[in-house]
Amino acid sequence: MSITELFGSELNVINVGLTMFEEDLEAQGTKVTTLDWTPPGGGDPTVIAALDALEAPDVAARIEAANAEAVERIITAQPMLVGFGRALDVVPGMTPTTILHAGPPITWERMSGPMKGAVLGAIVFEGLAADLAEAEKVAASGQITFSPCHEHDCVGSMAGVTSASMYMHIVRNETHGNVAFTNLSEQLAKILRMGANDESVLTRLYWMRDVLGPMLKEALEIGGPVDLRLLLAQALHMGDEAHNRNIAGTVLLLQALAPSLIQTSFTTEQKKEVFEFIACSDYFSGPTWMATAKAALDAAHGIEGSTIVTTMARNGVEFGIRVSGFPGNHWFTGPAQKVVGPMFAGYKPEDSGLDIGDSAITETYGFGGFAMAAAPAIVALVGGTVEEAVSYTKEMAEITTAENPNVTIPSLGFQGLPTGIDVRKVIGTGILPIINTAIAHKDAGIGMIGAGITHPPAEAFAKAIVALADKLA
Amino acid sequence: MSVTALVKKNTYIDSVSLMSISTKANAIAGVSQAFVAMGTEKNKEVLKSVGLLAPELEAATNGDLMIVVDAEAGVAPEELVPAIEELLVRKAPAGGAADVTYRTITTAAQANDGANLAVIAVNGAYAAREARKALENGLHVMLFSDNVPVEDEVALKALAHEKGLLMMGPDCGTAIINNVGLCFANAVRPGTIGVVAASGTGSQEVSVRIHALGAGISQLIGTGGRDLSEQVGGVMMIDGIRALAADPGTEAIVLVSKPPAPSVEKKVLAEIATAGKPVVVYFIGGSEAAVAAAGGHFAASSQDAALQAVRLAGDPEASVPGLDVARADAARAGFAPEQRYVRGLFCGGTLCDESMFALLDAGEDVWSNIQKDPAFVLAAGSPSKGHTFLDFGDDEFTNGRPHPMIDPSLRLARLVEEAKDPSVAAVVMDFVLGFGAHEDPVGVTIPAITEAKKIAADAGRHLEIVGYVLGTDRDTPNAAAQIAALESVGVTVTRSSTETGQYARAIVRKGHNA
Amino acid sequence: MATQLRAPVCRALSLDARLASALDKAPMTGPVHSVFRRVLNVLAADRLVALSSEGLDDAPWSVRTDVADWRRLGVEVGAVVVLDSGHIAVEGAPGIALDLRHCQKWHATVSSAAAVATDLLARRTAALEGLLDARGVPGGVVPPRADASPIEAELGRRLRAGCERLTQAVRANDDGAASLAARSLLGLGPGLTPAGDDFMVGLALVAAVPGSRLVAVGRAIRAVLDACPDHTTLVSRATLEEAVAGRARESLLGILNRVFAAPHGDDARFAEHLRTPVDRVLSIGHTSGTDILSGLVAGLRLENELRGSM
Repeated sequence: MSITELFGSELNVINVGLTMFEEDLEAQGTKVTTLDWTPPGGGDPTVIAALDALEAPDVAARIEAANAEAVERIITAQPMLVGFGRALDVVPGMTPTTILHAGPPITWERMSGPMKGAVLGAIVFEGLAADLAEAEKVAASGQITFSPCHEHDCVGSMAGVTSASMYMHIVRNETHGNVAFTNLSEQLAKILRMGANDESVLTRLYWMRDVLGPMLKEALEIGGPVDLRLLLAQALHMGDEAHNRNIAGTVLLLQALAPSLIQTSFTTEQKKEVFEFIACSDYFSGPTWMATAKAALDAAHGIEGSTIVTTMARNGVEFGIRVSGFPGNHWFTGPAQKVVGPMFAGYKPEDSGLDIGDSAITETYGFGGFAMAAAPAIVALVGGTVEEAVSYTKEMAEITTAENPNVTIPSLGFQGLPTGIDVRKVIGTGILPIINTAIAHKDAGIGMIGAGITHPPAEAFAKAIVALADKLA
Repeated sequence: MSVTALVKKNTYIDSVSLMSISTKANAIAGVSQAFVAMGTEKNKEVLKSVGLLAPELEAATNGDLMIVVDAEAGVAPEELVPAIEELLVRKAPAGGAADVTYRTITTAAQANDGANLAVIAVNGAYAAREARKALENGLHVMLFSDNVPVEDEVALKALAHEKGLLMMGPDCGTAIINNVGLCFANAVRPGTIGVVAASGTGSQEVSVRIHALGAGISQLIGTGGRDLSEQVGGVMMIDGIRALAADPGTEAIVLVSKPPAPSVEKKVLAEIATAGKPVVVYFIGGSEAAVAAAGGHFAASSQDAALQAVRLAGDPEASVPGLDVARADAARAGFAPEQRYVRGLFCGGTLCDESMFALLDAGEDVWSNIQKDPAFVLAAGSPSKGHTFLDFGDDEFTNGRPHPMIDPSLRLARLVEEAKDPSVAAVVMDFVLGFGAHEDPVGVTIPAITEAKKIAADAGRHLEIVGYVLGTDRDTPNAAAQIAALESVGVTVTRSSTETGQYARAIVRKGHNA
Repeated sequence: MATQLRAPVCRALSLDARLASALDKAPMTGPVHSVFRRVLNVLAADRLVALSSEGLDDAPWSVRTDVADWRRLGVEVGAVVVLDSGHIAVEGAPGIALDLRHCQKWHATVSSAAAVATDLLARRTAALEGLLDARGVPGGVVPPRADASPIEAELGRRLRAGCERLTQAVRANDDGAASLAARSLLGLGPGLTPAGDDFMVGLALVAAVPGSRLVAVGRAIRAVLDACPDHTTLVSRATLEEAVAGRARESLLGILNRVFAAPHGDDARFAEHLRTPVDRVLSIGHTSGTDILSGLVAGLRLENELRGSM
């Protein structure tokens, strides 16, 4: 409005910086909105300069267009569960001696305790070593190819350790044609992906390889593809956020698979084992939703000029993000953070390993921590209050680009998931994405000891924005 | 009289809310009077005595809430009850909109359609960016922050000018827009005089003087201290003059500034001719000829600026009393021979300037931290000598601590120091009231005043302490109470910034009384 | 980070020492009586126990907590509250689990009237009166603004008449007249603590200072409270009963203790020191603070007069 119009209007102030001015204005009966303001980019001049450069009108216009396309792709992606298969048979670039892991690239020497434990277990599982002691030598020998899941169209929860004969979900994005993979839930706390690797862990992995995986594969062949986005949307309406709470999603997935499972060629005893295995933990569908998100986000990766985040992943040492405007495997990293939340009895915060896993792909898509308003019951698991859960989702709207109309949150008036994390907005607001996750013990061989909330390091976003400014402005 | 009443059993409402409910109920159309009160015996007696004790109230007990409505003629009182009950419904604790906090100007502006102005007070390194965001979102800006690079100021003002928005500041401490005081401003009467000012305390003083003369302010646009520099070129002052010229609520315009850069002064004065309204120009120490040539009204002092504006805005009879010469003479008579100097301890830069100029004008040497003449510059930490006038609001003093209007401790310590100097005749101080200022600037100074007086008295001297309260009867605390407090401890209170300078001059220079 | 986790429970900060010792002897149980922003009242063992907010004063039978707004905690009137020597729990509100074991105890203490000479007391009373005049809120015992409605005008008239009668009766040491006057004030005024009661609270506090000459005041108020138990609200009655016993919220006792403190400093400084507690008292309710202080000033003036007459 012009100055003259201002003189004829009621004053309505946005107050930035000093709350004392808010009180004075309110005392005069003026409407005031005071910002919860922090300097952008933590006050780092290089980062602010990069942000300013990206906000130049011509640059911003190009970015808006690219981001609109990236977000459109995320929203319109239709991930379908089309099959199950052995990693060696289905995952691109997989070899008998390749071990995929969560997060950005990392060498054996630098891996965290839980990841090392999982790698050793996988080496024994694949028959590449007779026992854990020998596996240690094999791991260090250079015979094993370590590579991030994300660089093979995969995601892996927690350590994300995926080896050749593990069975994978095959999820195809019907809209854009790309495929994503992830391995099967091991259900319990003392499991390979959490760093446990004793006899009981390996025995379960053999059974998953020989019974569960093949039975699921056959069931999918009988029943045909399952629309995962539809199930995900239903699960969120039933109180899941589909990262740490998966009770509804697991029931829905089982509902979809059960008729086919009972028609498979396996014995009744084996079918009973599979049903019991699925029933023993709500987490069964957790990986399924990760692959759902991965299939959608990969379709949005590599769009020239886009500042949308397409990957957030942690290897237990570093947190890495990938941004759509940097095609391929350009990681921006910072140190992995602590996870804050309730611990299982007998464990203390100092036992916690740092944030780990590719499961933050769920938040990258817009559920998990971003959809906490859909899952008030989650607060018991990750700590905090229901009000906080709702405010997390509202806050995430400030750093995202659009709402996903296909997956909605009833309690927020069927608002769509906050979709398309924009590096510029993260830096501009100082709000970091919120991630719900599990806590693994810091040492190899123990497993999950709690669950909670964490954030990416701001550093990763700061590096990304500086690189974006170099490239685009 | 047609009365209806109802009783809410066991309803407790805190008295502040009860009061506000009563006030709102009385404002409902059709209500002659409404009364909301606890159902005690005595309250029922009161109702009875004014004939409003409806039968249904007889049964009310001390834990019940009574609502009595006396409707205006022709209105059925029972029709008013729902509107009153509505007032009693406690608004649900904000789970919705009120709960939302925003992190950026853009999100806040998008969520709040009516937003039209941003007040920005963040570290200078980040301020320009926030101001730009505000302008890009179509908001007028009051940029309180200082230490904003001048190139940024130029760019922001160019952007604002292009968009037709106010860009007040950086380093803008005072504005009054639509009768709402922003940052450091005084509660003054709404009126028809518009002010455009590059000086914060200067514009506060002019607005308060206008109020004291019975007139009021339409708009007070702060431009920021650098607006009239060569680099910035007076963009905001020129846009401000044009906006006030176009504003039907403004009848006279006052410009306030320290001396502008000559080229900028020319541009600004050129605007006067086309303003179509009388313009009073108070550029401290400026030239009368230039202003007169441009068709403006030259003001020699802040008091004069206010007086001329009030006369031009429709009260030709307005006047101010002259200096009380007898009072100054009496004070001077009480000094020992070696008591020859005045020490000015100021919070407001323009107030310090104005008093200092009064002495300089009389040919006195004055040392100051804001002296233009390098030979008389006194660093912040140095002891006073001769006549010394210190602006405690200057960056040198504020560096790393709050403005003296908020944190008076440095000034208090200095007052006690000055009292120990046998060459000091008088200490002159200002006390700035208003939004953003200290809640009781006089109260916090009184112990130091008492101590200073005692030190001087113990040494056998009369120490004259002169105080000027910049404030109005509408400020909190109000000026009268602050003045009374000063007088109660023997401070000589002056009535304007201009008079403060005149008085200071009169008590050291016999014969210089006007 | 705005996304930090907060502890779901609130903390108790301090509690009335008398409440603490009562709870040590026997636990209390009772329903929530009323919920306001800064206070939640519990009706337990025939008295009101207040759970208040950080910004409020310590007060008789109150527990100060870090809760900012009680209305937001979802507590319903009537919900059962259990108080024992270590904890306070509210049914249906698991977030309110106050641990009393480590919180500070507050003692309501009043100094003696003997320490201060009559002329000093007069000057201090004048200082307090000055503050009250400058900052008090009209509408209770202070005359309302000109635009008051007929009801407000009538209310104001009765209030001032009652106050005047009560002070006259005390001055005359006439117990009968004092009781009648107190009776005319009890429950008079719209609010939760009616203005008439507030005035008497101030007066009663001066009377309760050891060595005060105003004993007639305490007798009159006690008599009226006994004779007319239901003439005022529960909250107000409780406040008045405590005041008669010399117990009141901290800022009021602060004023009283400053007025009756041994001489030190000059008068200007005294007013300065009084300002903070006076402002706190004035912020009570709408006119309540002003009305209580009016009672206090009336009491102090009487105290002076009666000293002079002896």
